[in-house]
This record gives sequence, structure tokens and C-alpha cells, in this order.
Amino acid sequence: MSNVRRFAALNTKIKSMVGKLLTQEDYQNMLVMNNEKEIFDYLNESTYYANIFKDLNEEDYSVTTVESHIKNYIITLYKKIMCFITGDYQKLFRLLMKRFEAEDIKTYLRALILKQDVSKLYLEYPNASFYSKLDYRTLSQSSDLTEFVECLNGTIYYKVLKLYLNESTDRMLFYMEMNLDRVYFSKLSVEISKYKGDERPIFDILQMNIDFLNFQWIYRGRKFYHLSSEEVLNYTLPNGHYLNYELLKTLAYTDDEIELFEIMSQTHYKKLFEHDDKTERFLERDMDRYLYKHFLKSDRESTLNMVTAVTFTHRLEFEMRDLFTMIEAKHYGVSSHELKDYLVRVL
Amino acid sequence: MKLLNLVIEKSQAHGVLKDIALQERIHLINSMTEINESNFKLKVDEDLIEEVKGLCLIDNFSEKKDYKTIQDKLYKLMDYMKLERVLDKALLEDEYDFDVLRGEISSIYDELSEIRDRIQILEAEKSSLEEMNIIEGIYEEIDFNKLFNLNFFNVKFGTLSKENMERLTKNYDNIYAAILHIGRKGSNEIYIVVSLKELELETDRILRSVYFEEIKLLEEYLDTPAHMIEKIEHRMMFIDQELEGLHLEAKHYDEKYGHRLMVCYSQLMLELKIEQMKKQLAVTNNYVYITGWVSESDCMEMESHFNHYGAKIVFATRDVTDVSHKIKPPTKLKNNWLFKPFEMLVHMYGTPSYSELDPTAFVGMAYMLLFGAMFGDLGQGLLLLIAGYFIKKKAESPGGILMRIGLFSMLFGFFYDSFFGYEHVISKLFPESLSKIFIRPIENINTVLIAGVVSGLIFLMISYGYSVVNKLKNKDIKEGLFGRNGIAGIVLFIATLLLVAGSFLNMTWVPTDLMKIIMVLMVILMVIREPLANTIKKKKPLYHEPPTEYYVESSFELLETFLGMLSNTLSFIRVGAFALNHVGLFMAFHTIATLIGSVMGEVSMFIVGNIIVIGLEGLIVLIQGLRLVYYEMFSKYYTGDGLSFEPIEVENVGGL
Repeated sequence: MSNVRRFAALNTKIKSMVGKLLTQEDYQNMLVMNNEKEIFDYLNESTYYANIFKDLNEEDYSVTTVESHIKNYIITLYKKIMCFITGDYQKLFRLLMKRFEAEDIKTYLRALILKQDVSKLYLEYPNASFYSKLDYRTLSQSSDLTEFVECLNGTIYYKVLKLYLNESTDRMLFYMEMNLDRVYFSKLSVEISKYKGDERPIFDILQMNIDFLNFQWIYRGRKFYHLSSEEVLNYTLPNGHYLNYELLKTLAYTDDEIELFEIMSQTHYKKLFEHDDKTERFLERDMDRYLYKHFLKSDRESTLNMVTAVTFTHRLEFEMRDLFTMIEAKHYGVSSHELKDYLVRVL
Repeated sequence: MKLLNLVIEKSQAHGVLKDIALQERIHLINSMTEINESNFKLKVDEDLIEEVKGLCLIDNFSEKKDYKTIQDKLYKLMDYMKLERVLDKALLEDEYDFDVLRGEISSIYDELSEIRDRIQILEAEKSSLEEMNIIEGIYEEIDFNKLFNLNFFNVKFGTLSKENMERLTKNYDNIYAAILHIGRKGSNEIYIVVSLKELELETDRILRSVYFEEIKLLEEYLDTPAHMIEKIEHRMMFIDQELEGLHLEAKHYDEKYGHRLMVCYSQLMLELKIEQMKKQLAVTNNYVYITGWVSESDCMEMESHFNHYGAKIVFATRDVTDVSHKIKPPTKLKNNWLFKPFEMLVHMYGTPSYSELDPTAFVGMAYMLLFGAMFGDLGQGLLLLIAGYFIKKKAESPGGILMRIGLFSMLFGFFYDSFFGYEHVISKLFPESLSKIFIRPIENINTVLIAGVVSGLIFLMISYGYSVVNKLKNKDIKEGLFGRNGIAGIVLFIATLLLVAGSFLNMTWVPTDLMKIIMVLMVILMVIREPLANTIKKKKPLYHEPPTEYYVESSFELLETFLGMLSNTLSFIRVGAFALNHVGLFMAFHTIATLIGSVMGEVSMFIVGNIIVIGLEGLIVLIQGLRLVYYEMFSKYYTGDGLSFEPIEVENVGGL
């Protein structure tokens, strides 16, 4: 009964929102378009996204503005969902939303490492106050990385970012991004494990996500940044689903990616590593697809719980990513046949 | 309220902004929003044409001054001289140039450079010594001097979390370093890490990946832990003395520069405020636009004040009615000294919107009466009054409210013949002939309860009155005339009351049949209020939802209206009930005192009883009073969705 009280309204709201997501047909239509302009027009005329471009003039349409509009629009949807969530679950949802904060910090870091001007960057995040307590205006005033990290003093990110300020520039971003994710996901897994009983599916998917993160860190850390096996192993997160510590240790001590893939193809995730020479190219997409599939599956199987909401947030996010991929692919003239392979949604 | 539009030459912007900050009479709003609402109206003279063209190029004030460094310097100086950061607005009157002040601060800062450097060095040493203090937790006997001077090995000293140590242990066989647990202080686990000098880089990376926090041990202190602690303590004492001396030395400069620094501080606060105000302005190449609200009484004075600037300023005001309804005018509450503190209660619920009546006087009166009636006691009221007097110094409004309700408690207490819970004490001081004026609640239970309800009825009637005025002011015919809190509602309420009261008292003031006809008529009006109001206003469509739905809803609302009338009225019984409760509670303590039987018992029960009654019952009555004001009365007539008038003023920002 209490679950009816908690989730009935929320799930109804989400059902109606799911109806507005892009359909398979929308994808097909956009796929064959010639340039990004046509996609904007299509979104504007035939989809629910029409609402968000109302205040945009024709000449303002550019890849960046459209993308930031889409992102902000999605956050307004989350805000709506938030109104339907009650009690402890609000805390959980808030933490899920904090993901955006971590992503925004990454954007700042990236810009600062590339010595770009960030003084106007806060304008990109008009909804930041929804998911973050940070003052983005103050963040934007920082002129270099050290100053920026100082601004984060008092947050969970401060300590870990500070450690890498003296790292060489080519590795710094990898270290910082990895540690941001690390801090965020360890916090998330602590929080979600509290709901283990009721929300098993979410916990499972989080664990898979942790598996993928761990794998990616090992793979990228070893291959591109030449971290030592011991170091990379220390960075991995506990609480993976199928990749336990022993397995991670074996992975961390492989000599090259061929051996790494070899070992992975003997694990539960073997399907992801069966593309032969294309594995590397499609790895990220396949991982997203894998998670997406699991979300849909657990959503189907679950009744009244948080899974529906969490699934929806991820569906939105995957949709957003696909949209960005399509827009950018059209911008750079990638053929529709090739583009299809880079989308999370299977067409 | 009037909306003020100012256009100034850019060169004068700083001066005008300073004026506004010092005047404390203008509630600024963002000019950009105002312009976007295309509401920025100006008297366009010939010579302004060029500028009006420039309106197309409006932007925010982007010019930004850096105050951080100078603020930092000033604060440091003030800290050295132990000057408190207080804002003295009197110091702001004089003309000044901030760039000169900036130079002045810098030169004083340089003059103190020697002291400053020494303080900095000592403070740095102090903080690293404090960090080193962690060696207190070491239980092993180690000679750090030997350890840190090895030829082929590198040693690091620091803390590591348990969980991360576990991680290292799991993979210990692959790590080229020895990691030893040597102590614990608080939640910090202390380790030393020994590794080959050639492998320093790798070891560092691994340590970083488990967030090892290295603690640097200063060379000259290296020894066994016990000796080190001794040395550190010794040195710390020396540093503290030295720092004190340096601060004393800095204090000498206080006489020389103290006043100047205070001036600088106050003016820095003003500059910061101006900087903050700039965010709300709109700027073109040559001109600055300022928009804000001023109260009508200040308007003339403002105009004459800004006339100083002559042709460099254009001053225009508009009435609220001419302003786009999207820009809400703020509300400035004006009340006399008696009701002023009760503005807090109103703000707690919501600031009245500009078109709403200010309910403060009614709230104040009702709250004082209700509290007095529920908590009537001459002695306890006096205590509240005194408490209020002292609280007022710290917190103006709550203290003020407490004083006033204390006074009313005394007033009612007098008539209740109750002094610190003892009845029949006050009446003894007066001749027998006056005994009729005392109404002891416990002896007149019915009177007190009925009086509660009757007073409630009066309050409700006044609330209805407010409601009708507020709604008609907003041209809301539907609710104001035919709504349940409108005129139809009042008539229905009065008719029902008369009918019920008449049948109880067996009296007829107005013929019963007429009364019934009126009631039916009012009910019909209330049910069809929406189509009726729309017909009067000639608005289409008549219903904002399907008519069937509207009538189903309307009839349920009717049911609720009748229920509400009953419950709202009976709700005021609590006023009488708490008056009884108050006596009853004390009677209980009195009984306990009699049971104890000694003088000590009597005295202690008197004290305990009074403390509990004031603390517990006082609090309950405070809340119940608020409940009656907010729930029974405000919900009838008050929306409270306004903005409060907050004129720009210089604030003491304080810390960095």
C-alpha cells in the first residue's frame, strides 16, 4: 500500500512523459537528413522538443546552442519529476541528479586545461541550482585551474582534484575525470545500497555501470596514460557486479589490450567483445546499449518502485546523447549508414 | 509606489549609484527586464534622439573592477591591528575617490611589510607544527632522524584511511614499498612508507591513488617522537609569544592609521554595494539606465535631489497603474509603533501584495486579544513583558511582540483575578463593591466559552470584511460579490447565525421565512457565481470547464462552506478552553503543594508550576494564537504573494 502512495502518481507522470520520447520513426527520419539544420527543423516541427526552441531565433541555431537548450530542457523535465517524488527517495533522486554537477565540473576542467576562457560558461547552466549547491558564477570567475579547484573547497571533489594539480597536462584530465567519477560513484553506491531490498534492479544496474567504469579506467589508464598496474588497480571501485577484485587484478596486470579483451570475452560481458577488430571502436556504444537494454528490461519487470523513474532519466539521457551524435554527425557530414552504428538506440 | 526611471551619463553613474546607496529609499529592479517588457518610458526630447537610437545596443554593465586584492590587504591590516570590522555609515558622507584609498591601503600595507612577513612566516611554521602534532599518536619507538637520512631509501610519513590500506594490502605483493602502521590519533591511522629512492615516482603515484596524505616533518625536529613533541611544544610557545608581540607592534600603527582604515573599510563596503548594484543596470555606449521603486512620499524629494546633476540626468516616474502587470510593485508596510512588530507575523505568512490591504493592525489587535484571553495572568504577563524588554535588544520584532502580548496577558489577568496562578489575590486589594468586575474563568465556565465563540464571530466578520475589500480591489466580482468569502458568503453566514441563535434563544429578530428565502437566494448565487460574474463582465466562455463538472464541484463547495462555518466558529472555543486550562494546570500544582504540606513544598511547587505554565502553556498559547490568525482568519482574505520593499543600502559584509 505504501508503495502505491509513493509511486502511483510518479509512475503515471512518467508514463505520460515516456509517450513524448522520440520514436523509432523519428530516429529513422532524422537519420537520412542532409544537415543539422534539417534536424533542428524536424525537432521543431514534429517532436515534443518544439517547445524548447520557442525563444530561439532562426539565426541562433547552432550546434552548441541547440545542444545546451536540449540539455537544459531535460533538466526541467527532471525538475517536474522531482515534484512527484516523496520522502527518502528525494534524496536518492537528488544524488542521481548530482551527476550533472560532476559533468559540469568536467567541462570546466577541460576548458581550463585547454586554457580557454570560462567567464561566460555559467550561462550554459541556467538550471544548475536544481542539482548543485555550487555557485557557478564564482566558478566562472576563476582564471586558472588552481583557483578553480580552490573554489570547490568544502565539496567532496576538492580533496581528490587537488592531488593532481601538479600532474603533467596530458594526464591531468584523465586523472581528474576518473577521480570525479570515482568519488561520485562511490557515494552513489553507498546511498543506493541502502535501498538494496526494494530497489534491487537499480543496484544491479549501478553495479554493472561500475564494472564498465572499472574496465574503462583500466583500459584507458593502461593503454593511453601508461599508469602502473598497481596504481590503476587502486583506482577501481569496489561493488562491481560481475567483475570482482580478483578479476580486476588480472585485468590490471595484462600486457596489452588484446589480452585485456581476451579476458573480458570470457566474462559475463563476452558479447561486447565479439566484434573482432571493431571491438575498440564500438565499445562505448555497446556498453551504453547494454545498460539501456537492462534498464528497459527491469522497467518491464518491476511494478511500483523507483526503477521506472531511474529508467526514464537514463532513457532521456541516452536520447540526448543520440541526438547530439546525430547533430554532430550531420554537421561533419558522416553518412547515415555509418552514423547508425554510433547510436545507443538500435535501429 | 512609483516606478522610477533614470538615465544618466556614464561618467556620472558612480556618483548616482552612491547617492542611491546612501539614500536607502530606492528598491532597485533589473533594468534589463524592465526594458525587455518594453516598458522603459522616457520623455523624449530632441537632444535625446541619438540616445534613444542607442537603446538598440543595450547590454548589462560589463565593466568589472577587482576589489579582491585590495579587500584582502585591508582585511589583513585590520586583523593585525585587531580592528573590528564594523560599518560606520557616518564615514560615508565625505567625498572620496576609491583609487586614492586603494593607494593609501597599499602604502600602509607596504609600510607594515616587515611585520607582515614575520607574521606570515611564523603562522606558516605554526600550522605545519600543528600538523606534526600527530606524532603524539605514535606508539613505536622510532628515531626519525636516522630514518629520514637513509642513503638508498626514501621514507614518507602520513595518514591513510583503513579502507584504502586494505586495498594496498590486497595487492601488497606487487608494491615495491614497505608500509608500516606506527600509530593512531583520533580517526587518523599513521603510517610510514619506505621505498627505494629509484622507485620514488612509482611509489608516489601508488600512494596518491589511495589518497595517502603526507605530513612533512621539519628537518630540525627530527628525533624520537617523545623528544619531538617536547621540541614542538617549546617552539609553539615561543611562536605564540612572538606573534603576540608582533600584533602589539602592529597595534602601534592603530593610532596612526586606525581611523583611516575604518574609513577605507566603510567605503569599501559602499564600493562593493555599488558593484553589486551595477548588475541590475542597463548600459549603452554613453548612458546608464536605472530602474527602481520609490514610495510616493519620497518621490518629490528624490527628484529635487537628482536635479543636482542637471542635464546629465533624466528623471521620470510612473504610477503603478502604468506599469506592465508583469513587474510587481513591492509593498512597504506602514504601521504605528503599537502594531509594527506584528509585521513579522504577517511576513512569516507572506508579504501582502501591492493591491492588498495591509492586515498588520488587525493581526496585531487579534493576536494580542487572543493571547491575553488564553493566557491571562497579571504576574506571568509581567514576566513576559520583562523578558520581551530584554529580547528586544537582540531581536527587535519578537521582543516587541512578547512585550505587547505580555501586557495584554496582564490586562486579562487582572480581570481574571489571577496572579501567578493564585486567584482571589488581586480582588482582595479592592473594595467589595468592585468584585463584580472580576470574572474568574473556573467559576464562569460557560460564560468564558461562549465569550470565546462570540469574539471569534467578531474576528470572522472583520476577516470577511477584509476579504470583500481585497477581492473587489482586484476587480474579482466572482469571489468578491458571490464567493463564499464575499458578500454572499457574509449574508449567508449572518442569516444562518441569526436563525440558529434565534431557535436556541426562542427569539425572532427577523421573520424566519424571510431569513430562509435570503439563505436560499445566497446559496443559488454562490452556486452560479462563475457564469454570473462572466455575464456581468461580458466575458465568454461562461465556464472555464464543462458546466456539469462545474456544478458538481460547486455543490460540493457549498457543503464545505456550511461545514467551514461551523468548524471556523467552534474553533474559537479554544480561546475559552485555554483560559480554563491555564487555571486548571496551576490548580494541579497547587494540589501537589497541599499534599506535600510544608512551606518548602509550597514554594518549590509555586516556582516549578509557574515555570512549566509559562514555558509549556505559554508556548502552546503562542502557537494556538498564530493558528487562529493564520488559519481561521488569513485563509479567508489574505493571499500574501507580494514582494517586500527592500531599498538599497550599504551592508556590512564582513569576512572574506
